Amino acid sequence: MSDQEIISQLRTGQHHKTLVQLYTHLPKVERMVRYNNGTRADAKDLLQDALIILLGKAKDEAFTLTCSIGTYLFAICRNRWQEELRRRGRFTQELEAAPDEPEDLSALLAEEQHFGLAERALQALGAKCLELLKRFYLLKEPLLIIAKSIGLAGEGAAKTRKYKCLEAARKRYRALLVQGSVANIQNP
Amino acid sequence: MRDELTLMELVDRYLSGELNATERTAFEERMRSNADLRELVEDQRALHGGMQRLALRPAVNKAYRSYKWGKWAPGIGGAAVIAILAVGGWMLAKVGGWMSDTSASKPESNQQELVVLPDTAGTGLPALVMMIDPKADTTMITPNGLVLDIPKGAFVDGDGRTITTPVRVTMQEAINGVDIMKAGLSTMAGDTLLETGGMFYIDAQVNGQRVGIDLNKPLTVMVPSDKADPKMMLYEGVMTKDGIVNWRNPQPLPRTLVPVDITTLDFYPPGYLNKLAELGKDASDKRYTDSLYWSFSAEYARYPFRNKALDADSTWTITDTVTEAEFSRRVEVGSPDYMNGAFLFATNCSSCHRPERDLTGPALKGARQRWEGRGDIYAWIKNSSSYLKTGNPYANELFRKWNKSVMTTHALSNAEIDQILRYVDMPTSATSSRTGIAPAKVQSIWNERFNGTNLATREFEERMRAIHRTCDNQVLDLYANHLDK
Repeated sequence: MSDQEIISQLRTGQHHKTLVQLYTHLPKVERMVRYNNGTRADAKDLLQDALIILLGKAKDEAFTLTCSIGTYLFAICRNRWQEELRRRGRFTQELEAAPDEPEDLSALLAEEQHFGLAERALQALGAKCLELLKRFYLLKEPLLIIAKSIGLAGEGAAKTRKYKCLEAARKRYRALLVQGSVANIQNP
Repeated sequence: MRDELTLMELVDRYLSGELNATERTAFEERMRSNADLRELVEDQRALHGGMQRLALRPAVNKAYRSYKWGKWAPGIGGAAVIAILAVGGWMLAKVGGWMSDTSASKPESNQQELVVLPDTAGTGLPALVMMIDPKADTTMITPNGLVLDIPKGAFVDGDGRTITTPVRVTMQEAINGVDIMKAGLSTMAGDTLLETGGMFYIDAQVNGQRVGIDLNKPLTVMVPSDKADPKMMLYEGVMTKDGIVNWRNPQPLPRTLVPVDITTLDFYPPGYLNKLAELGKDASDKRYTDSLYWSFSAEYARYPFRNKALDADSTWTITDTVTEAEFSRRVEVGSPDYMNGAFLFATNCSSCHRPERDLTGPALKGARQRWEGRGDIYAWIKNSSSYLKTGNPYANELFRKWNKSVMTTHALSNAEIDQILRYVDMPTSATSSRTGIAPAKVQSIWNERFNGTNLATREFEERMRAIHRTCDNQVLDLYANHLDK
């Protein structure tokens, strides 16, 4: 499968096989991480995050790759692992980059770092909250339907509930942001 | 709260691009003047992004499971695992890496077309059979040094229940080239020839029934090797109908000890570099620090570079075998005076002098005593040629005796000279093997030849510090002679 085909596959949502195939980049990431004070689990988390980033990007029609997918994924992992090493105070030297590594990753990574923190903040919410937010924002279901299926009185109640949930997540997100922790690659 | 609710909705609409042009401009105008609003928008944008990620994560996790177990899924039924450590390439039988690899085959995959390795009959390899109790951790070490680690409750029956009755574990190994050849094992992966680091076969049975392995409690197999080859992979062996083993499904090996470039590690005695920096020397120049350190080799017994802190945690200081004199010497050895004296001696005098034997200049031990009543030893050391001009007879005698070679001038204070002289007058230890690790020994292991071995690991760097603390050369020898462990 060519890189462009992979991207369009990821776009369709029928991406299981493609994702499995993309995991073939895992050994390379593992090598990089394990030679630099990391574990296999770290490497897995890194690549999974990179895959999520790629999935998110692929949805964007305007997204084009300036390098191979493997390089792109590796570049994300490498940059984030460097960040992580800095955070742990174990950073010694720049990790070796692939020759055709794209240069404009810093903006993307800064953004993803925030998304990662937000993800953690959201994960800390109750199941009901998460359900509500997912249905509203991702599935774009009308509030009335959501209210019925999760047992709320009506649209108004759902709206208030949604507000409270989002506000709680935001508070938590703020706290994480203040902690200054780099988007932690260890996801629960 | 009503207001905040509406505001949040407005932000939602702004972020999803639902606002029309005028609303949008108005909103952005508001954002420019209102920092709180900007923050709210940023946060909400992040939360939207976080939600997207959250939604994608299950798919990614699911794909990971498929990836991971897809590789082992067509594995062999039961717990029979035969594996080879190999690098694609030549058929040079070579010792593999220090590897611990976790191999587990899926318990309930029944693959008819694969011939489960029968009982490896015909290979002629001696089978190691052991009844083990699966309720406890078991570690087996084979004659060739293969280590098999079986965690508690590793074996399960067909229904996934943990087995508690004794399990019969059979192991066969062909680690070196001779064994592999004699057993008639091939090192082919399809059409590719592999370079092997050894092969092993493990079978576990209860009452003649092959058992499965709990995937959460994989067996660990460690294969002995002096050098870790990063390209070594774990292959799974499948016996074809004509009795030839085909190796497939290469998997990278997990490593407990990751070799790094040995020259980047610090094998000096603890405190050595700090002390150098303290003395204003360039501690970052490895050529300099090396050269200085190796220069202690000749009489290292006199320069055990240990700092004071070490004595606190070293347990050997007071033992029955240590004589009174030795004990007091050691106490003094740990003193800062002694350290300074040693360093001053090493940096100022050691090119021409040794404490106990003549070099370009005389042995310095007893120098203070020899000068007693004959002149000013301080002035002599500081600037010998100007002291000669004072006509001091002993100075002139020394000058003639040592082929009229002029001693370099030294910018030392009297106190520093005292330290040096006290240091050289220190009695030598009777048991010199316990006064420090010989720099020459360190030098012999600290070079590129040992890259890729267990010595070239961060873990050993840590260990090296402890070895220095033991002050016992035999400890270091123990490590250097057992690289494959």
